[in-house]
Amino acid sequence: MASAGSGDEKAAAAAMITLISSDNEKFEVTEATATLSQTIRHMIEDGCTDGGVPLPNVTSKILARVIEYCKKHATAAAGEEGSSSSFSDAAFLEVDRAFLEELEEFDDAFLEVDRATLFDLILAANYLDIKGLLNLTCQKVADSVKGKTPEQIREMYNIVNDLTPEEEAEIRRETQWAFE
Amino acid sequence: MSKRKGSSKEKQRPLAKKRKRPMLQLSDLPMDILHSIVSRLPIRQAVRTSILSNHWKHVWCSCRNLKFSFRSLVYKKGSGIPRSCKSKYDFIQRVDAVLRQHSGAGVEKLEVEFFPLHNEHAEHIDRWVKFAIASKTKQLILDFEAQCRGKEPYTFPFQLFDAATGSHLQSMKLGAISLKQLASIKPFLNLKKLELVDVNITDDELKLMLCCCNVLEFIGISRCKLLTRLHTSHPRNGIKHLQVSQCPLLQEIELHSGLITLEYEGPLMPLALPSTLRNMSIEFSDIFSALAYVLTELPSTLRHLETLTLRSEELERATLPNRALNFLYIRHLRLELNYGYLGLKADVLDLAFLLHAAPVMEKLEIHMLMDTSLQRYRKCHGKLRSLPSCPHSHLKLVEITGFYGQKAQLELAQHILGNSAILKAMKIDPKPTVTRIDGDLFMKDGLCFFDGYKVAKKYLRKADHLGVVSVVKVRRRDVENVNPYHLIDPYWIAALVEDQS
Repeated sequence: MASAGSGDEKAAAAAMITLISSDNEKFEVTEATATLSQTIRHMIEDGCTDGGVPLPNVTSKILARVIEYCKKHATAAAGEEGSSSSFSDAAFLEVDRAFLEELEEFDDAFLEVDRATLFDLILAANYLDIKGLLNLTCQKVADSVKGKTPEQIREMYNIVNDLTPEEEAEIRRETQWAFE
Repeated sequence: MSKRKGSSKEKQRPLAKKRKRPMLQLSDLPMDILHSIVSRLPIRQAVRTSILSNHWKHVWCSCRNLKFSFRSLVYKKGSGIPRSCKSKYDFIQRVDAVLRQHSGAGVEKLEVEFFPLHNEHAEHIDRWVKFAIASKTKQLILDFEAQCRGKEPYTFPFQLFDAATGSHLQSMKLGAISLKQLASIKPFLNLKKLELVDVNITDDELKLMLCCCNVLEFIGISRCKLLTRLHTSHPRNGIKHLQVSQCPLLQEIELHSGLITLEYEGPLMPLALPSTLRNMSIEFSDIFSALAYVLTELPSTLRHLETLTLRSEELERATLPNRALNFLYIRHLRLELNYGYLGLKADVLDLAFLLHAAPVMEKLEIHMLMDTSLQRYRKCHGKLRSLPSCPHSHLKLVEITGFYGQKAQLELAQHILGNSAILKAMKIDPKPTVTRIDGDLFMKDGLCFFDGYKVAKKYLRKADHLGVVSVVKVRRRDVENVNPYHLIDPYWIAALVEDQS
């Protein structure tokens, strides 16, 4: 979008979207940032974003973090698009490893949150249909579980074992190999 | 979040009372998300989540990735490698057990990689293929890695697929499998990626198969011992990526215009490279100097070639011409060079010629595997050689791995540093990252990593006027008592363990 001509520039400047959190806080973001969310992309396509997009399922605290993620990754997406569609020099190094490494570092730092926030981010990513963020956050949970025993997982995530000893024995019998 | 409302479980939680909004718990997330999380676990671990609670009992049954391999199903840490017949039996039993309990929907990927299976197990494997069809699996991998001596390989059941049942497949890999039933092949309407490894496919059969895959974008052919000619030109062909490796009888590859990426590994053969080619990766088994290939074989006319990877065992030294521009368009050059086989004749400093040959290159990667018997540079080895200056005005990024601090390596790095006017980063890693390690790293290499680190620190820092050099840190205590493999990408360690099975 940055490389667009003067006419397009005007359009790009005008294309700001207002997102409204559940606690009524307003966030102005560019269209490029907002459309990382498929949900919002569809709303824009349907022309129903005038007067702001209410997001009753997302608190301002979480929305601010989601927008932070989208801003960073919107730049990345722009770089990638540029390189695959043209042979021009500009975008070449942008998609390079150094840049991807930086993005990875951003993601790692982004995930340094408490568990409740992580779950809220998952729900927001799910609701807003932001694939990258959903993958990232789900992977974080999966990684935290890897190599742990069932007892450890229950403790970590406050899961109450409500299986009767008989039920538990039956599951273990059916899937014995996995517990060896 | 609306999905959480009215959940009776939540009220039972003691924590819920303390806060206005009850603390969100993992088990409160929508089922769909729990499926996605479980799909990211190795299958054994995914199955184990069934015992967490009632809520979790069946979550794993909607796991989207089913990877069945020796490692994921049979291998047990610390108990050694089990006997083949026992592990075969266990493997089949466990795959069946998982598929029996699986919900049979939403499978993205079904992967079976297990060495000793063949046509005597067809009854079981057919059942798994039927599961893939019924569950609308998008990606199917059946790789038996190598054909068993004296056993007939598994015959792929093409007859099970018709236009409808085959339409869900987007990607397929078949390894050590027989295509005897190919005559009954029906079109795979959505297959974009096809890989054949160690498959006895003939020229005509391959042609037939390609005709049935109209939207194919990627084709990989490896160790197919009957192929002699490979023609990718077909009127409706949209193949963008071709990968060919180790097909011993292959004499001719005819490439079509429109091909963007070519990867080739095998004996030297004339390749009429289409002008659309953007990425190329080449390893000729009978060329022993990457520079020699560049100078004698590679046409300089590929206008869109941006990325070139060359892999070579450096046994010979190329004669360098006085002046030659070979890669007028290349922006990214990647070399994977093995100097480890008594490569005394080859001289690493010769690579400096590349600055001449690729005038618009922006990124240069040199991955080396060195001979450990050569010592790291010390002052007593004589003065460092320096070449006539050769200013380069495009190079921004240089990555050198396997830097053991040997004299010629240091000279090369200094030459690049001294001549690249707009260099932004030079990354030096003493550890080798070449993909062909071939299991010949020893304890001694570990010490070489440390040597490389010391030399880079001591000498390259001095030559670093632009302040762009970064060196991956290696400490002596890291390498002294440790197998150097542990410093390298864990993937290779895993691969080794699998090999030993």
